[in-house]
Amino acid sequence: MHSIIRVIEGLTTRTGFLISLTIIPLVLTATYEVFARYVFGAPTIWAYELGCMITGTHFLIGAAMTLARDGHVRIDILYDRLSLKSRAFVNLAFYVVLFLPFLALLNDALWHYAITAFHSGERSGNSAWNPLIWPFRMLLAFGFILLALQVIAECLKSLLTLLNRPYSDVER
Amino acid sequence: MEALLMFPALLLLIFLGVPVAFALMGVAFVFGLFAFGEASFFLYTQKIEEIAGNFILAAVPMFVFMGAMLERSGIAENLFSAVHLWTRRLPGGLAIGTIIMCIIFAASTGVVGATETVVGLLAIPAMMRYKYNKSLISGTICAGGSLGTIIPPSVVVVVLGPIADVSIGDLMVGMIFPGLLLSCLYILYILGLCILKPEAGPPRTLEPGEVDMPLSEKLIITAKALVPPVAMIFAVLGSIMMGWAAPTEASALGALGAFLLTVLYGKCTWQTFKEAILKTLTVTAMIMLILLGGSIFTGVFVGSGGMSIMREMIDAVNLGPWGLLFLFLALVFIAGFFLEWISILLIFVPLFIPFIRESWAATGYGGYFDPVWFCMLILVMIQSSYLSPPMAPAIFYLRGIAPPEITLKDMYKGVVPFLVIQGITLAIVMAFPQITLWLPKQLLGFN
Repeated sequence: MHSIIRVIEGLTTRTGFLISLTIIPLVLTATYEVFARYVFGAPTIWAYELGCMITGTHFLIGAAMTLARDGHVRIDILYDRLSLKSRAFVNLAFYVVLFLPFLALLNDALWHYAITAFHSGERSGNSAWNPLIWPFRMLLAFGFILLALQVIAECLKSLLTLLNRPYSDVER
Repeated sequence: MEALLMFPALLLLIFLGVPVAFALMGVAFVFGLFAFGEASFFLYTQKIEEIAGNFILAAVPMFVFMGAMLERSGIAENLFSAVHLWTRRLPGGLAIGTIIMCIIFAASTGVVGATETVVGLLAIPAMMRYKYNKSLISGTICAGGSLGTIIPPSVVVVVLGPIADVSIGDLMVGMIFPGLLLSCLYILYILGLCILKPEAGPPRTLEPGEVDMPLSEKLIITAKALVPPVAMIFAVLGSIMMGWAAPTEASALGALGAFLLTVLYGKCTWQTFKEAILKTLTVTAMIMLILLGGSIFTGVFVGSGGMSIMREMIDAVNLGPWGLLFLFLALVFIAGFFLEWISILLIFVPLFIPFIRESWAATGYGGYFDPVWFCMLILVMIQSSYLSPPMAPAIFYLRGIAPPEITLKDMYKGVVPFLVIQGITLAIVMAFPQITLWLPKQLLGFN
């Protein structure tokens, strides 16, 4: 189990780091647009929609890594007072009963949404640039697949805590 | 009626310690499946694409990045010594200087945590050395640190605008006077307290061998320290006020500016940059996932008739517009004890805003019940939620940086007077809508 967790976390943290770099093109396109408009007098047709797509990709693919670092905010009034085992139980129960089934169905829906767009050649229709929409939808689906994988890793971690064999990541 | 059960279910999960974003999605999942079956997933994919493709929200990662860079840039140190050249002779001078510093820092960044940790790390040791009252120290740092909420630019506003369907430009410009009013009241309180009880914040005397520097030198040091933050304020707020850039573009200018400043100050190593972009990613993902969860949750709530049930209940108690407003604000205040700001915004504002718009229409579109005015009241409440224990992020940040001599009791005692000031500000902003509405009307010409 330890090695499965390690493989998943390796995947989420590496993609997380790669995707965190997209803040650079995001800042640059939005700044370029302002200069293009006022200095060159020629606004681009692509900056707006590219900015939207980078933002969405950035945070959805980053969601898994945020979970790996326990960065999704919890209200810890009670949680802080629970023992490690009770915490593991709360997490495991919620993930298995509610969240994983939700993510499974959601991933199925998102994937179909992307594939349909790929076959029909649907375009975004949000700006004059009007790019093909399927690559963006694939990225969104990918973000949720990563999140589901990380949730599975979190379940395994909780299970190990309950079995008295807590997982510790030596690598980090 | 089932839709109303969504709230107790949500609160149960949240208080068990399930991440807020996931709790919102989990509850929506169950109730959505119950109400619409598999078709509910069509709603979710729509909502995901809507949030993921929203250009306004692109300001969130850029403001977070800007804060993460500025906090590592070293502009705070220079600013700190410059501000204290002017305030140190006043009663409570170090505390007053701290608030001024927080105002300048809050106006150059969009996030709250950054201001509080950066300013706190500099100001707490200085105030401890001069034997300031520990509750005054705690209150000053917590209240000053959370000014980032109501002093533009503010990431809270970027999230609030789309939920309330109000222009972010109007909010960013509208909050200037309420924000300044609040900070002036903070300063007046500290000054008053230290005049009445000089031992709470003794004025700083010259150290042996230290001579007071001439005015010209003071001016030069101050000017040098002020240039970077003023440039940041101009890049972000200035470009919005002049109508050069939309708020998202302004946030990009700010992010680029913060990066350049860090390079200029020689603090930009690969390690710093890596830490800043990773922090940006995790903070952004945290905020945006709650937004996404909230949007899915509200979608299911509205879709299964929750709004009409709410409306019937509110019509049945017949409070009138002002009664309703006070009920809303009281709910937000109570929620502020337990929830953090994004959850408060996402759970309450979508429910309240239709009623506020109705009251606005009913009162003939005067200043009262203008959605911008309402958002301002919400912002003051959100800032109070930073200070009100037990769920008080401002106190959590402070605990991370305070020396052990400052106890949790000092902190709790310290925030109380500032919470009272929040109440006074709320009353003033509520009574005089023009404080909020005048400036956007002049600059951006909305009606």
